[in-house]
Amino acid sequence: MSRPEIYSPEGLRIDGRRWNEVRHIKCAINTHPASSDGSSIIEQGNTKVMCNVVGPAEPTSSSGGGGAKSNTNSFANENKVTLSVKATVAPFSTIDRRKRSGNDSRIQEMCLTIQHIFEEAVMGHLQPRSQIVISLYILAQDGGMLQACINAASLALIDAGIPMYDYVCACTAGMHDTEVLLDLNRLEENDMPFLTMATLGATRKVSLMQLETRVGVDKLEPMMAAAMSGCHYLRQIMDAQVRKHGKNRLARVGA
Amino acid sequence: MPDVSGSSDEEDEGLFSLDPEADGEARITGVVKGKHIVTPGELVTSDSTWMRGHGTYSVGTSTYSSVAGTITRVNKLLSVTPLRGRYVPEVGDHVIGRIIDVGTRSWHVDIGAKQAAVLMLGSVNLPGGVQRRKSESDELQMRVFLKEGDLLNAEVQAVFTDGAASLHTRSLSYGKLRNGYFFSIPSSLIIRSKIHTIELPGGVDLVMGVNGYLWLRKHTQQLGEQGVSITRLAEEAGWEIYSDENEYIAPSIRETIARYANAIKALEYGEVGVSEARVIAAYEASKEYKGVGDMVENDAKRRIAQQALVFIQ
Amino acid sequence: MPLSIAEENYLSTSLSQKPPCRPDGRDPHTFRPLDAAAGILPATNGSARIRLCDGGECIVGVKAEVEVCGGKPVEVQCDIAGQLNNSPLQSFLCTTLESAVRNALPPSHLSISNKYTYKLYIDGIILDHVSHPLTLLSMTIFLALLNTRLPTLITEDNTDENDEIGLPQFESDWQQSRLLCDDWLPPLVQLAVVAGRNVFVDPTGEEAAVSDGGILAIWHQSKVVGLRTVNTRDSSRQVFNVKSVATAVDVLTQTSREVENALRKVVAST
Repeated sequence: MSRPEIYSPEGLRIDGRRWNEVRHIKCAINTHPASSDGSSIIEQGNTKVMCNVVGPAEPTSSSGGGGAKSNTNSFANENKVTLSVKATVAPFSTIDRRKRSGNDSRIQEMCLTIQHIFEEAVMGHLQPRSQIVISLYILAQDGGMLQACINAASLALIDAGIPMYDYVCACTAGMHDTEVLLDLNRLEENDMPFLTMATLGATRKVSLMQLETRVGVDKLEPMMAAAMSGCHYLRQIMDAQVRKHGKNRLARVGA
Repeated sequence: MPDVSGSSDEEDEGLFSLDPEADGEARITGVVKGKHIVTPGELVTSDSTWMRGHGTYSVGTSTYSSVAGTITRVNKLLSVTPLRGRYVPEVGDHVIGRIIDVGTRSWHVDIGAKQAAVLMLGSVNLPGGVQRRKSESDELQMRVFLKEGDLLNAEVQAVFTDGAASLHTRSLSYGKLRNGYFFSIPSSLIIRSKIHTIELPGGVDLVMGVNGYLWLRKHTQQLGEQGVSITRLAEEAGWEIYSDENEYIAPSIRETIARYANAIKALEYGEVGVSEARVIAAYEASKEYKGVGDMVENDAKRRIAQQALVFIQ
Repeated sequence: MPLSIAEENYLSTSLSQKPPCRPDGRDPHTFRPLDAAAGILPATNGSARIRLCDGGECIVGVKAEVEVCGGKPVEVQCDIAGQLNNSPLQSFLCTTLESAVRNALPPSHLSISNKYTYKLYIDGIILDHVSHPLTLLSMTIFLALLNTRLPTLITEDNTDENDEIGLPQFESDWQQSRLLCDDWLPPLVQLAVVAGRNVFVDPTGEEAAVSDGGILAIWHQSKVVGLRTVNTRDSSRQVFNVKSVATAVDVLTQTSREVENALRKVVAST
């Protein structure tokens, strides 16, 4: 069997996209109104992530970061909100079933990354002595897990009515030889160096830049430029979904 | 910067152009108008004469939205009301709460807000009357009055700078709740009214918290209704105000309570605001369903909510 | 969050009186409306999602992996949001459902060759639960198993040489796959709670909290094949009348049949 071609001479990728096309995106907010303050589902290609946000609420021991913390309210911050991020990676989310334990270090690191991003984006000083718990459920993985998690969390926080400076949108970009490819799927991620970038809204403010592979310095800039415009494009789509939901809701309540 | 394109949900396609024209026009007058939805990061106005309220932030002279919601203007104050959000306590609100924690001189009460509310020992009526001084022995037996899990209705007395509320129950219509059933709906659906305890047809009272917490109970003669002066009553208020014992409640009353609960949940399902008139209308509409249990079906809920709206008009 | 004493008294009297009055007026044998979907995750062999009207939600994915014969044929695991791994509830759910599925599963349905067999990994995520999650998880697993397809084998001959070459080869066309549940149905585990002489199916969280206790019934091939009491409240007051247990078996037999039919319709429509 011949190896699938990552990027054909005609400029097509494995799944038929051009270099600057993102995967099919589907997102929805307020998907779990009964069990959370804010919720969302996002599908980017075959990657599917669900997010529930509970809070801001009185910090409790059971909802504390991972449940492993002390059972007092001692981690209630007097000045700003306490964010905690939990991620559950479904064992069936990958092609081969894999059971990850709750304290898998990569997942923990990802949670911490997301927590830091949203500590900057959420206007936490408005909710002192309270806690926001962001629960992420990764149901299917096909590349771009971190970006999907960030986008899902952004939407769920907005759905919960939590004040934020702007959307945080994330997107990946990779470098195949000399070609930049946007929004990689799993096969592409495994094949080339790539970075995940998150921006605060459609601005040039970068809230995350994560690059875990070796890449020439000269190649970094085109990758970053592509990822950034990917972020801006995603913001447009997410924003449209939030507005659509809002309009529907106003129409119903106003009726 | 390179162009980016992609495929998105087809039905969403039309929404991408967010009416740049309309926006531009509105901004000439200063602020985006009407029932327009604004989202986080969106410029609301670049006119610096506006005062910035909740749901906004400023960069330089411009005001941006920090939540997804609609713009509210009161005089020169500009704020954005989120589409969804937790209950935000205001002084004078009538709320229902549940004790989550008993402290040395105060109780912590869950009222569905960002933070737990505080009920000070000094803000409750104790057996023996208003004039009675709170003693050290009262501090030691706080759990005798109110303990974890207990439900009560109260008024928001003050709101601290961090947004937490402090409550009081210094009125005979406030205090521990009994003889009934508790449930909650989103606080945004409660239509504020001066009357918080509603006597409903069928021998049932509804105690409505602005925070979306509701208590349906058998109608009982309230202490104040017996024609004795309030001050005297307050003095005579005995231990029964902290009693956990229910009176006898007939099965028919229990069924009526279940019917009212389902009627209100139908209003919630249809996202219809809840008021005294709507609750009664939904109750009347529900009589179409003989079995109270038939009202849990989604079709039934939808129908009852619709009918309640028609009835009012 | 505990209920207040007055609330608890109101609820328990309502439930144990004759005839009982549930807080939502439901008949003791009626389920609340629920939202069910099968085949939601393309990367699994079978998947399902069920959502209850109180916000309780469960997602199950089934993966069939090729393994050397001799191990456990089925493994059930679940994650419960807000609970640590190895909580008592989690291990109760996993062991109960694992043994129910294992006992119901015809062994021939998983075998591939003399050396290799499929192993079913059934993984559930309980995103939220207000009421006891046993029935919810069981119904979702039922749906996911009904939806499960296994790829067909290309190498028909079960000769020994074949085994030495390595793993068996499978048809890559998903259309050619076979249903796991072609001539059998997965088991259903249903929980009912008892209050006095009354038995209630699909109990809400508050109903379970004031009940005398719960009884679970494992239902398979139109029969109740297992029975167990379940603690549904913190205090240890769990004593049933013998008559209530008998009633529970009757009630669960009837409702399990209805639930089974309803869930089969969900799969048929997808």
